Amino acid sequence: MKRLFLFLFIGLSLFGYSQEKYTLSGTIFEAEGQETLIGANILILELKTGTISNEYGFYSITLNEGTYEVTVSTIGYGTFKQTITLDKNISQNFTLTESLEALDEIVIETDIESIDIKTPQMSVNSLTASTIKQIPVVFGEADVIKAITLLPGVSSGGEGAAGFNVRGGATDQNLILLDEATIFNSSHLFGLFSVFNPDAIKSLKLYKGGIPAKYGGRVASVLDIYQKEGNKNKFHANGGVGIVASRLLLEGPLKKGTGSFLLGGRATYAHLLLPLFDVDNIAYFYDLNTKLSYRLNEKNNIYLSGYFGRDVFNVSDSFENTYGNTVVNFRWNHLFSDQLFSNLSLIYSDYYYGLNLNFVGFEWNSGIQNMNIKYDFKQYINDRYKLEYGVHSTYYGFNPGVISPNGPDSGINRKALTNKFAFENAVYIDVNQQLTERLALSYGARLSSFLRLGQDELNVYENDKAVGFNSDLQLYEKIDPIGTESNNHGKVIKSFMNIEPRFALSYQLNDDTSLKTSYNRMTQYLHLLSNTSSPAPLDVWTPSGKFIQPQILDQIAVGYFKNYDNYSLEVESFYKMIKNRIDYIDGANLIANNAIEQVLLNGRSRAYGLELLFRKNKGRFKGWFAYTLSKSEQQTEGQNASDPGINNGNWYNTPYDKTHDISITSTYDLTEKWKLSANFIFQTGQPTTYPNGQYSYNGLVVPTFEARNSSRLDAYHRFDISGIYTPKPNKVKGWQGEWVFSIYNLYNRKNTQSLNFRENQVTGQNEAVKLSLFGAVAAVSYNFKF
Amino acid sequence: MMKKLMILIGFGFLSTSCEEVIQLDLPTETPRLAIDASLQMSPNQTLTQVVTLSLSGGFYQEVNPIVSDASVQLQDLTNSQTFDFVYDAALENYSLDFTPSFGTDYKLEIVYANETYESSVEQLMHAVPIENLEQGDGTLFAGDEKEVLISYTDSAERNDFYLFDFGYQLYLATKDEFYQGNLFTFSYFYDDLLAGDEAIVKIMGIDERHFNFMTILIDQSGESGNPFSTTPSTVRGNLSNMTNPDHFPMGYFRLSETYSTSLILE
Repeated sequence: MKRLFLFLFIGLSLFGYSQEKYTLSGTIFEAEGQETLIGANILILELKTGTISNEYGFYSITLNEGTYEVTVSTIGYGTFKQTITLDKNISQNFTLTESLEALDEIVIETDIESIDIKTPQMSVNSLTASTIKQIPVVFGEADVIKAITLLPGVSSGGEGAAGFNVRGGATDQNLILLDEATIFNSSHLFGLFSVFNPDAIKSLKLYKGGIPAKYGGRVASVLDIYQKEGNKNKFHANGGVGIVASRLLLEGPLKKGTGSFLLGGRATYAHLLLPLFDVDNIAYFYDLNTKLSYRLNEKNNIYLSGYFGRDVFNVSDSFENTYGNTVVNFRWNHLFSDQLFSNLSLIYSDYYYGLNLNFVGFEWNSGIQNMNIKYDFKQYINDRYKLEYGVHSTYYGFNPGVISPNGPDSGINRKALTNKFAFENAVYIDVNQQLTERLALSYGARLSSFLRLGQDELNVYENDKAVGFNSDLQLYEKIDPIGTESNNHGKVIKSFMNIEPRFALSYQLNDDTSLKTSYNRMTQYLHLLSNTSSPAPLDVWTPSGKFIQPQILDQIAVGYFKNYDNYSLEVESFYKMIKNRIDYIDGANLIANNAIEQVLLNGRSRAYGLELLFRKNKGRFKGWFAYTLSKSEQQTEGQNASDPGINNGNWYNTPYDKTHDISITSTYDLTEKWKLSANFIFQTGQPTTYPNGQYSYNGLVVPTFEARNSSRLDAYHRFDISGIYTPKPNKVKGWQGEWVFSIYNLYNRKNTQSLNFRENQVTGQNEAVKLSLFGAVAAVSYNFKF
Repeated sequence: MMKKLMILIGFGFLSTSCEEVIQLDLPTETPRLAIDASLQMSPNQTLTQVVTLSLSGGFYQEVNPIVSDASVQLQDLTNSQTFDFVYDAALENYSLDFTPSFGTDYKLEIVYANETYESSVEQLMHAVPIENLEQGDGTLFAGDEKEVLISYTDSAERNDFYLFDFGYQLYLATKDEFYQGNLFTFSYFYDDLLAGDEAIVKIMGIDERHFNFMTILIDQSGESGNPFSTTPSTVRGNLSNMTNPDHFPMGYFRLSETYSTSLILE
């Protein structure tokens, strides 16, 4: 590590201060509400160089003394040009006006995109809230997670499957950040909706590879979402009324031009969701987003944001279930100088899962809490050299479950599964360096450590072995502990430390074409205990420790990137390997299991593939074609020579292995009033396990099964369309409304959600039953703003 | 069980969901011996113990062939005694008048088609009587289920595992982890029974391994339609093939203290 720093400083001194240099810095705003703009390009045409505004809209560029034409632009906004004479350090904010895309094409200079060609960052996709809102979805509710599954390298388990899978990874391997805070469960209603309110979102970025050192703790991807700050000039409201849910977002100034608030809420209509049942049954969710932003002065900004969401089910008072996330987050942006930007985040986040089972007489409460401090710095040394560094620290408390009687008549004893505690720390540094006109590098490392803290009643096993192989019966069995030990909650009982190098390089073939390559190592210290293909809300997170090793990823990727006038093409290939991916012994029970180590086997996984994204970014017709060819496998070998592991130690498909994945997304501006959208999705069927026989036992017909995941469900495909009708497209003040009409799964494809093998109760004949969730679903919703 | 309930709720409300029976070509492996050997003991009763042997078949096979030409022997390892089961052609099973005792090691040995099958060593497992069985008026998802309330007092001295048999091939496996030593009442919901039907509820003592085995079997053979179901796998019981280990048998050998009670539903 020391050597690395040394190297960085030597590297730095190569760019000595030979000539007089000055810094141009400031913040990029949009005109209407003084909302900061993320990822805006600031170009210095004379020098063919530039920079990009960061997550808080700040930019800084240090250049030789001179007079420059500065162009500021970002997609969806007009271009701003200004001639600036840089003979001293200049602080200059820019304000861009939203370009109301008329039918006549607005021609934006192609140079704007060239920055993306230049930077070494690859394997990243950005979506704006307006793109997300145009994608047709089931029930007409715009959805972030459903939108990102249309990108190459991203798939999902189909309808009703929570989360998303990136490059053959599991859903718990995605780091999901909402305003820098980690979100543990991204779904409402078992994956039908995601927890992100599309009205409150400003931008999102999905990193699939070449992940900067700033991010850590998960091995598949980073989904980095920033919420809007709220309009600093005027009070505004927008919202929507749909067939299953409604939403409302209020925003406005606290103090004109400097402070703003944002308050958003969503809720579903409980009874409409339950047409099959009587009104005794309830199923709904709601969530609330709040944010306060205040610009103290040119050098200091503070933000306070919160998220609160709950899903609630209640069946005939026999059964009650509540779960959701709570996040509170305070951030302070401070400029130490015009070249040194900092952000301090203090985050509390909590995931709660509760059950009340009246018919058995107990309540169940579980959850995970964490407190997180992040201090991140961005240092803009000159136009060719940028540093990012920081420290992150997180304290976790895991409550795997407390069971307690729900009344005086209950026969249940209170019993708590052992709480677990851990401390995760990291320091990182990333260097972005433009080496020559054509060659750019980014390199750095993250040093992460994980301290598992003491707990009550930690099982102790002979030779630390908790699982054994019974060679007579040829099956894995738990080993009984020889005792337990209790430790002070402040004592470190197991620690891990890992250096995670990150490296990326881009070489520009010409102004519009580049080749990039990247390598990243990442470590994941938390594991979601789930032996289903898509996570359920009851699934429990558990920290690494004596019996569970952290997952370690190594990924390499290469890519070819090209911009045409209105088109862009990205082709990437990746290979990744993850050590210490756990799998479960046959028949493992994960629910309320206080000794989870007794059902785990340690294995590894790997994935490789080819991704292609062809995108049309401008014009009346916009959209993309994404294709992914990939393989994702897992291997769990035995603990020693005498036991076979899972599937005899051979590689087997993960549930997220989708050989072919195609999505086509398009929007077309038909007239001023009508905008049409369509998507088509095709995915190879999900791996599954078929029965290869049956036998009789105790009157039951019991299936026997082939090797794990050796068959596949039918291919998944569907076609969706939607139309957005704006009655008064030219109205920019007062009440503005639009209607969204959509048909999901237009040709009524019965996609297989799951196969169930059972005995027909009437005929006694065994049968295979296919469950499909959605046929064609038509929906209409009305969105408004004022 | 909780998880399954949750899933049912999650998916129950999707009015557009649909189920259809499909024709699927499934692989078929060589038939294996399926051993159903559930020995029982009820205080003050003499019971005839039965063992049923059959062959496994393809998933769609309607009737599994009964094995009638095997030799079935119960071994009492504690007292060094052996007992031979006799095949009853009318009932198509092997029977033996025998009452197992607590604290005794038993083993089952079967010879069939020149291969010898042996169980692991098992003991008779304790159960407790069902103290009360009554009908309730609660319902679940469909709203027309018949609720029965089952009460029993768990023994505080042991970690107990119980298997409930509700008749109609309906089973529930439970452990006393959360109600150790208490009078415990829970509800069971019959989906398809009507007023006038009889609900016979049986409680059987089992060990932890059999609890795990039955939990998975109930899930795999049921029709919960669980879309989040775990990756299924063939579940080995406590029997092995000593002659040819790869041709292992299916099924289980258990000895359970058993109590039973019944109720006519209203």
